[in-house]
Amino acid sequence: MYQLVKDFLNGLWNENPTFRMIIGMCPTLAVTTAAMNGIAMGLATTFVLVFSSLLISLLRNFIPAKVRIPCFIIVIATFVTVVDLFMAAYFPAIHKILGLFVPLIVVNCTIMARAEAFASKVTPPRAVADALGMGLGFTWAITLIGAVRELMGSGTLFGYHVLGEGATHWVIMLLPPGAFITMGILLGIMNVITRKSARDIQCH
Amino acid sequence: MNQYARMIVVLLIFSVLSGAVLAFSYEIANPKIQEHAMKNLEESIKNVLPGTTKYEQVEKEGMTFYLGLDDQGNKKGIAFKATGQGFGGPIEMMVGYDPKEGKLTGLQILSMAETPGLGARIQEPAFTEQFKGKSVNDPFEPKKDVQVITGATISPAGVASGIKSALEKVTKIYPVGGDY
Amino acid sequence: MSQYKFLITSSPHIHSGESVQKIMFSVAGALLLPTLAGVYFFGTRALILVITATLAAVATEAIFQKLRGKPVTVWDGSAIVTGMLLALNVTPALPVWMVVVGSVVAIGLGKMIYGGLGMNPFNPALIGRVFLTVTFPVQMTTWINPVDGTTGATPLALMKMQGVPTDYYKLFIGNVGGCLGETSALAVLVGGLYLIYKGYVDWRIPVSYIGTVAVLTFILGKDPIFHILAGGLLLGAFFMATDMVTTPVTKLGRIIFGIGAGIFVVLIRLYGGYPEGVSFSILLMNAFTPIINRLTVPRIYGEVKTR
Repeated sequence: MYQLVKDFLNGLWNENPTFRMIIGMCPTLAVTTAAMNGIAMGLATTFVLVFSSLLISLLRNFIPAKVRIPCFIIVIATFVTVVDLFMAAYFPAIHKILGLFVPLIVVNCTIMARAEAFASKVTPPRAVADALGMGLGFTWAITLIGAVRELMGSGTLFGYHVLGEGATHWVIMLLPPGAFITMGILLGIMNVITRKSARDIQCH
Repeated sequence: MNQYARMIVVLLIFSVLSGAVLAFSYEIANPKIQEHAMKNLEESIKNVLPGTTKYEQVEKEGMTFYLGLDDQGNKKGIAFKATGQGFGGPIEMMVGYDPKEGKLTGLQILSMAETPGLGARIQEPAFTEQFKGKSVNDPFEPKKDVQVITGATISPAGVASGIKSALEKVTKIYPVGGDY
Repeated sequence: MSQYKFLITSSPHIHSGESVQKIMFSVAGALLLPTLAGVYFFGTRALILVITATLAAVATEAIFQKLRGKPVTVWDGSAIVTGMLLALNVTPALPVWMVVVGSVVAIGLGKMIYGGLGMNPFNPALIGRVFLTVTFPVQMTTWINPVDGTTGATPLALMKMQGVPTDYYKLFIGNVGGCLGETSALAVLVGGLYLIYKGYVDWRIPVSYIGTVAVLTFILGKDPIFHILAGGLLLGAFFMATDMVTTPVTKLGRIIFGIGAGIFVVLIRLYGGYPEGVSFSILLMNAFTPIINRLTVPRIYGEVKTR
């Protein structure tokens, strides 16, 4: 049980895919123009991550090592296509915004990396705990980036006008450079926090 | 089992199962997706042709027209799709046209990739409303007869030239003052 | 180790008497001319913008260096030059807090993040300016006419959108709408020539840059004199394309840099979406600087071509 909690928490902070491992940058930078997009993209990715990790972990002794990558890809691509279809059918508005980036979950490194490095080597419960942690870690990270960009770029948060109607919009935050600038500054802050806590531990 | 045979069998099983899952999900999701597309199309036609309650699709000279009708079957105008070149890519729009009057009846932006908060404001009624009642013989030039958005001139220009070039074809098929 | 009396250092050993500080303050002095012209034409609001931008740039550099535990070197004057250049590159109608944002970005994201003076690949003032242009497009393109302060268009925008030319004399003296420091061609020219005379600016860059714009606009059937005098070409050519850090070090390289930037300006002005392209042209060529440097390494004296 302790191991499962540890696996779950790992993705939330210590090995956070976005801020620690810097993988899965494509959706991170591309869809985070609003906090809601971050949540939607994050949850879609979490769904794919959990189910593909579960399946790959279950079948880990059945898949021959030499063809494991094609097998992983088929599993992941299947779940992504299912998500894409159901999103288009039941959440057309959010599907239109995320657009091409839903199918592109297939090539999100986070999923492939967890399948190859973790799920294919451990028991199903651990794989699912890890996938949930990674997925939610990815979700909070891109939601945070989305929130910063939405707040500065449109003056809103989850669509609500929190800065007042007259707030100046920083257009750059909604454009690709804004994604890089936000990401870079948040990474810097993360590093300062981690370094500080590491120093505190050493002192005690 | 020979290891190569095993690889092939495993991959085959994966592909077949994946195909089955996808076919099944497609069966469930596709009617819904089609329904959304139809609803969006119908809404945009009703939006650009005020008073329309139903429409008929007409194919003429390689273009698709949507003939708008009201409950009594009176013709309310025709709607067609036009494409303009914007700042961030093509701008797809639905244009309403009343050949009897020779005027536009409405404009709706269907899809675009303009800068949010700037060029993307071409979607707002403040911009699209100005095309309502506009004569098809107008020059459609930004800053002259087309109001632009402060800080963004390319997107409105793309909309205007997109409509203008589509109208050149449309007014040949449905001449001003003629029946349709 | 203080018992050693002799210092052993590698060459060079003769100091020219120049220092970063001396050069930077000369540049700042030369920039005073366009600044004064801007203040003359646009009034106190121009003066407030220049002072705030400069103070904000200096403060940002000091804070960054303090935070990172590095020695504070704001007195070398480079932040002052960046702040002044940024203010000269914005519209006089810009809200003051926005120019502060520009200064923070110019120094913070344009210079300190790369490790400070000498490490930045792009001209910091231009980074700040382009950031502002993209972030606040409406406020950055709200131009005002000199003296009366009513809103109006710049000569380049008038030419591009409506095909209206502006009088050469007005352009030369600076009685036209535009960025704070680029309106008066005369003031920029005098300041630039002073820097060339002092040897802080290599004539090759401004000459090849402006020359390319003149030749290209002439070939394409446009008015070359108008394109030289209007907009920020002169300010860019003398003060920003000549930044020692972000431009090539070789003589041939500098000519290539100027020609490249000139081509970009003409392309953007005549065929691009923006009426003005000086900032983008210099930033684009900044990106090419390392390649140009490598391609134009002069042969060492006595070296024989081996092939």
